[in-house]
Amino acid sequence: MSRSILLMLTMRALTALGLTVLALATAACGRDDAYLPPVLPREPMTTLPPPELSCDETAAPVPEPFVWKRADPLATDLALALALEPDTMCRELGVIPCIEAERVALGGSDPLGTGLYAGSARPGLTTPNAVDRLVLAACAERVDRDARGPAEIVTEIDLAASALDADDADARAAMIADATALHRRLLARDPSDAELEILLDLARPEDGLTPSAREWATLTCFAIGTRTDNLFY
Amino acid sequence: MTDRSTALRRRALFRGLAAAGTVAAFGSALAPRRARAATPAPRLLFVIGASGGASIIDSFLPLLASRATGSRVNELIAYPDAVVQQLPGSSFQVVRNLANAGFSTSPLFQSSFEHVDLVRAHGSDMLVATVENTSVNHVVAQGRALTGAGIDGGRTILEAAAMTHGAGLVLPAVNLASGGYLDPGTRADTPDWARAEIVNDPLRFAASTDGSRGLFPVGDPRMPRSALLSRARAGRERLEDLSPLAAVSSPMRTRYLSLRRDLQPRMESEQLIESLMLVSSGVDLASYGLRPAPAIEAMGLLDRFPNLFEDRFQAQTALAYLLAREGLSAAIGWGPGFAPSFLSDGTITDTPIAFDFSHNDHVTTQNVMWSRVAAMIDALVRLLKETPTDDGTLWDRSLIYVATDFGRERYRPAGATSGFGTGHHLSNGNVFLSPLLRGNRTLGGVATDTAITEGWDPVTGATTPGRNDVREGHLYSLVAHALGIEFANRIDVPAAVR
Repeated sequence: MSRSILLMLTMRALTALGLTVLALATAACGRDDAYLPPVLPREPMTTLPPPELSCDETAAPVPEPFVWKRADPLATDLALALALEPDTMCRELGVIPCIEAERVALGGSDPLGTGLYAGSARPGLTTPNAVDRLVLAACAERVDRDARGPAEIVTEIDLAASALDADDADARAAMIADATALHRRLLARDPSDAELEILLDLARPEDGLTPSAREWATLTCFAIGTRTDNLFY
Repeated sequence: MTDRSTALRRRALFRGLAAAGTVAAFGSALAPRRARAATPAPRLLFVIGASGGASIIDSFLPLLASRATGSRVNELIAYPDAVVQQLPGSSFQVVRNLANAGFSTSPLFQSSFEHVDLVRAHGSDMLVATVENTSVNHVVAQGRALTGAGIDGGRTILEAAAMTHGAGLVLPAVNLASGGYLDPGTRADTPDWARAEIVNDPLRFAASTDGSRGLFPVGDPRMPRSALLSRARAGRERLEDLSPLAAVSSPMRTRYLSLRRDLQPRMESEQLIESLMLVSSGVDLASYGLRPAPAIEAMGLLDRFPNLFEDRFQAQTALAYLLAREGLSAAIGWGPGFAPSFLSDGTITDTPIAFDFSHNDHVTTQNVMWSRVAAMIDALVRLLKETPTDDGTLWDRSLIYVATDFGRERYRPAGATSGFGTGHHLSNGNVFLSPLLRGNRTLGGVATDTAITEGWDPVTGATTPGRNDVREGHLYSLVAHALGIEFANRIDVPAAVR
């Protein structure tokens, strides 16, 4: 019995030691910090040394709790949320639907074109640009349609106004109503008070620049729609 | 050209200042590393993925019919001496462009570039090395062509080159190729920044380097002012801090936020959308506040790539050059894929499924596709040679590796000269071009009775008659050796590297 206990304790000690070593090794790899190139001038002629690897190449990857909402699901969700058509809500240089032009950057596959049968495992270097483009264009289109009327989503503020006063009770209520509607449509939840304040702040004059009502609505939609909450689940 | 030279010198100055600042910031920890690595200049790797099986015996290492032997001599794929050229002083025997030589090939598939002109212009920097591949499955073989069949733990040669020469670049590795040539490496400790950015549309890729420009015409009321967009982005960062997702440790979200916070502003401030813009004349770029890449005019890209806006292979090659020219990337892959490519006049630019159309028509496919590949190599090398740097030209530190899946079968119906198809075969060879290599050299040979390639010794370069022990790992090592890429299993190839 005592030998079994000793054996069990030894095993536990070894396990704890192993986990500690693994944790230290993972930390040493600095994986969370390893996603970007070192910030250096972009010269190809730099004489900096090659990176030195200290990681065990057999180390297990860091677990990923989220799923990436890729090209078509992202575009479809966005189109539904903003009551737009996926093919027309964003066009690159007015010509090609963004979802087609940016499909691979948005994590989609391209089996019939480049023979890319599965999208990238992780967002690529240009993914944030592609997301920003898609959402910004869609938001701008939605607000434009609402401005021309009849308004479907941004219904409370006066989209013809040259500015919005977030400190005026009536204007504030309208802004909160529209921001909340966008938040519900894009993220399927109500915004917190703190989140609303950040969105209302976007309307305030700053550096001599005051957003028009259209600009505020578009950028509020953009800030919500490009949050990682809308990209990962 | 003068402007470019000045710009490069200015960048060199910035580089020196930045490097000095970096050392100051990190103190002695970095100093020894800089001292160690003061010599080798960063180099550029270009990988052309010749999809489908670019057979070396149908291009730059043919078996001449006059030398073919054995009991099946009339069935071997051997070329009549009349269609094989060898320039004075050149070690390469080259199959002619059969259409130019007056031999009837398919009227559907044409490419006018004469293969031997590649040797004529760049033969002193050109090397052919035979290989016995390890797979005849397209996707598997394409992957192995880039990983050396796993000799570097599964890391691709693009990733390895990016790690060695791409640190600090905006897009260290870019891959515009197709199929298995797009597969990322499987080595776990490859940093994410060295993984190749996959690009499926070379003409419109520039738009992907900016978060807003080009979405709306200038003055369009839908587009918020740019300063307000910046303000919204800043507000978004505050929202991220409040996100329920922030409480969960997610490498993917962390990566995304890092890219958005750090790399996106860098891409936009350096105006990559302008330096890489290849969109055709069908779009009024000026109305969008944009302009074509200045290099299009400065380097005469429309003369060099006359079908730039329609021919995907030409567009890929042009973008590969721009990425190198602008100092954005250290490793770039591209090549014809399996999707058919048509011009507006109905011309088919590549045989369908590229080199793999050899299943239907071996001779035409190999001849047309090799002409296409050679033409793109020639155009790229000329551009690189004409692009000055501080100490020469971009070509001085470049290497082109023409990767391919595998070779093709060696036999044809007895006496047939065209109209027959071939299957896949492990035996093959690859083409490399670089001033870093011992050019005007062929490593290995072809057995006259089987048309199977024979191997070579990595040190002496001597042919190993009757057998080929050279594998994908040797070719990976060859590239790595030439580019100064270190890894544990590297097989040095002094027979190939200067």
